[in-house]
Amino acid sequence: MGFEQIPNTPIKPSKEQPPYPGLVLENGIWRKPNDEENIKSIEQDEESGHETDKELSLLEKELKELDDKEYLSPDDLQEKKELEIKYTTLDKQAKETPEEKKKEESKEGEEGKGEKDEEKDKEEGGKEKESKKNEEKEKLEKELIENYNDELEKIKKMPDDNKNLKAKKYLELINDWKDMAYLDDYKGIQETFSELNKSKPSILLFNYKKAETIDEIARAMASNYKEWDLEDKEKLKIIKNFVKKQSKEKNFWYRPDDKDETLKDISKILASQDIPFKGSIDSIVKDIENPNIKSETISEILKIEKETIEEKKELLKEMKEEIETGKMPPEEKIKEQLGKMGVSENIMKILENPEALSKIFYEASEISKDPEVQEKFQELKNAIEKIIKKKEEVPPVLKNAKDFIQKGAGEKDKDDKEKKESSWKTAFETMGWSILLFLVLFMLAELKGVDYLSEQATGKKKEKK
Amino acid sequence: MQQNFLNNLPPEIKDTGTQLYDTILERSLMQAYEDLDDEKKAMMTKIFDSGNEKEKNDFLHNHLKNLENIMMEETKKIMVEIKKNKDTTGIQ
Repeated sequence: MGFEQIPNTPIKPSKEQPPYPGLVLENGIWRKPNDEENIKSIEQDEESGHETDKELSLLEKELKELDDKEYLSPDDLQEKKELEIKYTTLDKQAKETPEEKKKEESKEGEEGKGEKDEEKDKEEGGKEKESKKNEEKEKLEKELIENYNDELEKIKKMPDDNKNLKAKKYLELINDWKDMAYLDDYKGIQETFSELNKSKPSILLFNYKKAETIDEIARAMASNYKEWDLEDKEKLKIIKNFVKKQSKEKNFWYRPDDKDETLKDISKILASQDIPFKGSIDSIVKDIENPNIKSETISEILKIEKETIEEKKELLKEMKEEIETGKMPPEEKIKEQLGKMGVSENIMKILENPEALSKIFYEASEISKDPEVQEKFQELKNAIEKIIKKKEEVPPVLKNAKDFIQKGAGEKDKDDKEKKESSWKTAFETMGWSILLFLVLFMLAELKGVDYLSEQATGKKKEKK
Repeated sequence: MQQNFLNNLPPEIKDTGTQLYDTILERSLMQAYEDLDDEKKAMMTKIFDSGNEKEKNDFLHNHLKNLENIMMEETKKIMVEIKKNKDTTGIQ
């Protein structure tokens, strides 16, 4: 497969020491030495016989040549990696020799001691500042993790007689933490998820919400991949294990194909951040079981790899936004709207019972296997088609209004920044959710019988007269 | 969004549900539009033909604010119609 085009990310120069030896610090920026400085440096090297430095210079030259390329082939990448390892090792060796001391000695003859001390103080001050900054960052991260764990403990201690509130708190905690969860390598969030799985609440469409949350966490793991300070192999293992573990929980809304779709999204998010396919993303793709989803994923990754850096950035942004839009609306709002449409208390109870609801939806998904239900569905479909066909002629203004409500914006306004802010889109997503849920329940009641739904709600079979 | 929710259902249920929802939205918009006076109807045509997002949003907020309730009523009406159609088909 042609995964040759890998954008080349330049190495950021450090402010403490040159990224490569021989660079000169001027106005806070490391630059290449001019010819005069170069000759001087080479002469000094020869005089002092620093073989390591010479080798480092050569490595630096080779790395520089690779850095100048816009795209790197897998061979280039491998070469770059090897050179960097070699460079780091040599550089470490060079630092172990009292280089600074020698430099100081050679300088002593040329410059005054006071000037040298001043420079040294400045350098040390900078280092101190940087290390203080790092310390503060580490302290803050530690505090954040501690706060998260404290919150988790508080929820765990909540009495079990209010399972719903407890589950809602777990979901809120996960949502608040998911974009920072890389700080503790997602340990805390996974613990919260285990608690959530144990909580068994009676929340409207709880399993759907859970499926949505699994997808959101997995996408957050992929989106924050570069922030996450861990070996690639470890990171990929954590992501894969999380998805795999959650997909094993019995959930109608998170079945094998849903797990595969999550893995597909993760792969795309990683590809849009220039994570290489070979040796990284391929290990995620390997876990996709559905062959169609797998081939779709590979072809999409190939497409992403050919995209420009800007296009990749745009894709990543879109995929991040996708997480936020289209989420299940608040439970209370759906309940209120279903109530207004006349949904009975019994049906509402089904919606709050994950097992009963999963059973109903599972049976509905199997209608093609039951000839009796198939016959009933045909009758229902005929009755519905009569209504759909009876549609009146809709004036163009209403077609435009419908598009606006459903999509948020018309084609010509596609670039309008206000598109995402259409409150009508949000309001009608909620409405659409409630109506579709209502329609599905209505169809199921028609197919399986209202008694069947009541039985699922109460857990009791109705006695036959 | 709603599509995610329907994704695990058989295509026939998913398609029928989506078509019904579309009909409900269209009917509701028709009813809300009919309730507007001629001046507002002309304004709506102008805005939804060439207006910007803000104007469209404002128009819906100011003049079609009852649309949500109309949609809920239309849903109930359609359920009754389906049942009626089913009974008629059954008798035939």
